[in-house]
Amino acid sequence: MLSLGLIALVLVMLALRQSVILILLMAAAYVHFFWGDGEILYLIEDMWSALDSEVLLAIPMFMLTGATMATGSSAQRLIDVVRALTEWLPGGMAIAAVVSCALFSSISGSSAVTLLAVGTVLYPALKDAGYDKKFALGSLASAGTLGIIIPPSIPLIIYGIITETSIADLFLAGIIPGILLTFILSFYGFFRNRHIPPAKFSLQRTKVALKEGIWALMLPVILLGGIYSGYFAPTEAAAVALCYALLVELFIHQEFGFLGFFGIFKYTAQLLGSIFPILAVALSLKSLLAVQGVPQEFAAFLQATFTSEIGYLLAVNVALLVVGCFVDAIPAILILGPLLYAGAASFGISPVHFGIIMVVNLELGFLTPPIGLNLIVAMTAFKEKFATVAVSVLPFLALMLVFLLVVTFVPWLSLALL
Amino acid sequence: MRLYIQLLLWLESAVAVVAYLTTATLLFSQIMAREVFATSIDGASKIAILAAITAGSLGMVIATGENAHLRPSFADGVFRGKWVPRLGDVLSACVHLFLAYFAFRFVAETKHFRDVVELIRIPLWPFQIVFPYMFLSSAFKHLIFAWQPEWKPRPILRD
Repeated sequence: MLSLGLIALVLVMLALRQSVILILLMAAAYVHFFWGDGEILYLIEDMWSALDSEVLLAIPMFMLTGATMATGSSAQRLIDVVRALTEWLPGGMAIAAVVSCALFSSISGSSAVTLLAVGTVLYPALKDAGYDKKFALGSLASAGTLGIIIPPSIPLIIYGIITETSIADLFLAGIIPGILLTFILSFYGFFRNRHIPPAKFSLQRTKVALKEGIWALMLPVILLGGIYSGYFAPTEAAAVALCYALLVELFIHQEFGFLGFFGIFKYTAQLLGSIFPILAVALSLKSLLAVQGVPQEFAAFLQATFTSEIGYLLAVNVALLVVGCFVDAIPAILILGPLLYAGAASFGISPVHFGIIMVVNLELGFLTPPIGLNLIVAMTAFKEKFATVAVSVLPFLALMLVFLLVVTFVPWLSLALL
Repeated sequence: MRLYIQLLLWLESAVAVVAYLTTATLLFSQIMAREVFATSIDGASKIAILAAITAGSLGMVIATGENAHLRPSFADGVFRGKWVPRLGDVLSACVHLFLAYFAFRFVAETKHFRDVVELIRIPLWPFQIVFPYMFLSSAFKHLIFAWQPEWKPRPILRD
């Protein structure tokens, strides 16, 4: 009866157009009141305790870094470097699109920002160079999703926090799958466009591009180098990256002044304002569920239902692909992460490997209707019909599904660097 | 009234920006102190966390004011009519006020028990005031949107 009440509460709030945050807050209040100690005050206390953590500071710092670099001219400079290095290959500009997205996502940490920053430059360039419009759309929308797996990835940080898994390990684990997916998408771009005559290689152009882009290229090096050389924890690395990004954009590239700076911070505050409460409520609910033994019961149920690790992983993949069609990556990780992870742990699956599986699954959700974020961003930015964009990503989605299965059943890809 | 709301939003944004700058500065200073001067700054990370909580909470208020919260729209057709968005905003305001009550109790308890910030031993409750403020200011904005729906910005798309 109490469960029905909770479902009814959520449904009424959905019908009355409430935000995810308010629905979660009320659902959490309901759970605290009826299944907890009957005191909603504990929800607020838990929210404060959840946010009172140094690890969480990595999220705003990485987001601010990404927003700073995306607002300046770093994207253009990175694209220039990649184009100079790849356009002499058959289908070189298609490769440049994918590699630029991969590189830029290692700075921005955001799929939509990557798609916008790289796409606005390369979409017209690809069309002008004779690449098929559908290919250009699909390639950019798909490569834009690389931001979710290539470190520093915000969804990986969130997964690390909610499942208490090392964020540094998760970042390391994302490197090989990120490079593999970049290679797969690049190879498809090369194969599909091998008939397009390449440009001549210019050493001078490459030198100039490298000189202009060196500051932007150094950011991922400083960031990951700092973490894995043992100089900084991920949170500290995020703060160093932010200071570096501000120095580069304010004093070297000189792309924006005080107002631009204020706008970036305000934009990020707003962005985080819609994530932090969800994070706080999810962590609060996680504590309550743990006290009630729900993850253990769920894990026992999963073990009884699925007799093998393979069966469980396949079921998780199918479930997350469906969830990814309707729910954003971060809420999906926050809500499902602890429960699905409990099941994975009962089958002896590494938490780091499982994190990569979850994130790759939700990466596909960026490209699946009805609310695939990159489909919507591409539709808006490139002024194309939703159906055109949705069809354009189909070959890429097929490749990414194969990639998902490889990542799921070859744990070495995620664990080799640990 | 509209000018007042915009001014309030600007002020909240300015405080959030300063709070994030404080967080970044403290974290960076801590690294510099450790790596360059082989020392540490007492309480720096704690103040950085409190500043980030302040910024995050004000971020929620900014997101409310700019209609940037995630909202599933698949059930929008269940109730039809011009009154539905207004009723939705009134309900949102009520939920926020309900939570603000508990947030006030939370701060009152912290004050009553004289909880202090670890390491630097200053009272914690002034930092926690941002929680009830977050719910109250959000409730206020929803009430304004219910009163003047045309002042509600279009939803923002982001990940």
